[in-house]
Amino acid sequence: MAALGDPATVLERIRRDVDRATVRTRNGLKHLAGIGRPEVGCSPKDVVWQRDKVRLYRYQSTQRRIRPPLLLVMSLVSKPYVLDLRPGNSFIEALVARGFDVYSLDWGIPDAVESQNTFETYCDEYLPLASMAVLRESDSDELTVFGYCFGGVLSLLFAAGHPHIPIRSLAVMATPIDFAVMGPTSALLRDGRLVPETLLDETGNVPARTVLDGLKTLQATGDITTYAALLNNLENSDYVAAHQALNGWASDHIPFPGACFLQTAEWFMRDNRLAENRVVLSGRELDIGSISCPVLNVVGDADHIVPLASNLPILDLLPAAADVHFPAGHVGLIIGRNAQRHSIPGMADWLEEHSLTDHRGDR
Amino acid sequence: MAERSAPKWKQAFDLVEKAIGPRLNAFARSEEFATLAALNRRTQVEVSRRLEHASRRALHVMNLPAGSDMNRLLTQIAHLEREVRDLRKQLGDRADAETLAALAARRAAEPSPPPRRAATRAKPTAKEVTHGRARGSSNGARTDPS
Repeated sequence: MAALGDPATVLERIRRDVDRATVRTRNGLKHLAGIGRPEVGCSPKDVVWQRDKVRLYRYQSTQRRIRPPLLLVMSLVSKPYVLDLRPGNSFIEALVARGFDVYSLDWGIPDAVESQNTFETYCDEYLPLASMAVLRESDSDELTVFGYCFGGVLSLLFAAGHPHIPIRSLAVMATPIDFAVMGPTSALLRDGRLVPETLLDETGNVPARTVLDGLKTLQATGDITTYAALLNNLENSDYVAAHQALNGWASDHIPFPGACFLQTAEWFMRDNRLAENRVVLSGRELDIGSISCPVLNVVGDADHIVPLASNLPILDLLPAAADVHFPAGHVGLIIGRNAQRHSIPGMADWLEEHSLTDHRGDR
Repeated sequence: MAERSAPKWKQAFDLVEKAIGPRLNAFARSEEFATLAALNRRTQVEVSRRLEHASRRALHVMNLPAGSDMNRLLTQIAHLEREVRDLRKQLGDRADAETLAALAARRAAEPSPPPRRAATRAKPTAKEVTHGRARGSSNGARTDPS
């Protein structure tokens, strides 16, 4: 029989195990009950412009030293708070601390009224007007645009379609260009095995659940792997809080406006018009290559949502773009320890290099 | 401090996941899966359509509105709201249109600047090289400068 050791050590071990089990049980119950969820999107901000359901936020800061202002453009199918997830783990917080004058666009949650929103609505109406609001609010002659995921597509179309908007530099992160290689849903629509209209619900939009299911098929074991990691780290309250925040966002999608989805399916998935630079918006033939400002293309090497092959054609469209890779996934580019150490400072460096620095403080 | 090793169940899970995960992910990207998913979706749509048709007929027999009637109303309300929005925008957008036109005129009057791209053609910054790869070749192929 194995020696039990001295009673004090055994008691100490039992006490430790009981404590650990208590914390694990408490965290597990909190997680299951959905209580104690960490607050997300906490950075102080003000609504400075609004149109329909679209809101433009300006983040409060007393240390704005980098000009021009920076406009963050989010995807249409996910909520923008991922850019400001939690204090200490927030892309926006890091940019504000760095001295940027940060604005963020929230598209709102579309319903039947937004089902007729098209690329023209976003790229020819909301984005130009939001840009004007940014210029006005910051009293600036220029702005920097930063698009994340599908927001990068919108930013590219907007920049190409509105050369008169004074964009000083443009950054796109995890942005799909070749939609033909984006996974099962894309393949189904591309080959005509699925009629895009069948994905629309009674509001005329693609329901959030369908968006989420489409993304989940990209990583079949993603859910179970995530939960196994959570179970393994249940005694770590910080880990549980981070999991709740990130996983909460990852399953908190919003409907894809129907008309814009139909355009995406027809133009980008079937015809691959973006990769082939054949997008026509409001009757204008756009030339992505005509974007004359400096462009930064940021890619996560482990991104399973927008794989490298999907992003690659951007280098044919914009051969002069700075192309930067990080060993991260789709969200890992802006969330997590590696993001705070590498990708966020890397992106902020580029943005600052292509901005002006003044030391006059808040404006 | 030494890192706590993963418990046995997690090690076993990782082994199984490592063996099965890539296969499952590959299957999810295969033609077979695409065909099954398409078939599943079509079946769902057809079943919903038939159920909706049957329930609508039953409800209409009793002179009750069906879900599809509500949806039609919802669509009409949405259409009306869009029209109201458009009217409101026509009234309120004059100022923005003037600013946009002024910007466009100013840009058109400016002598065409030298392309700014040259700035990004310069060698990648130290950070770009340190933290990731920078595009090196002109044909767009991704290369690793390190």
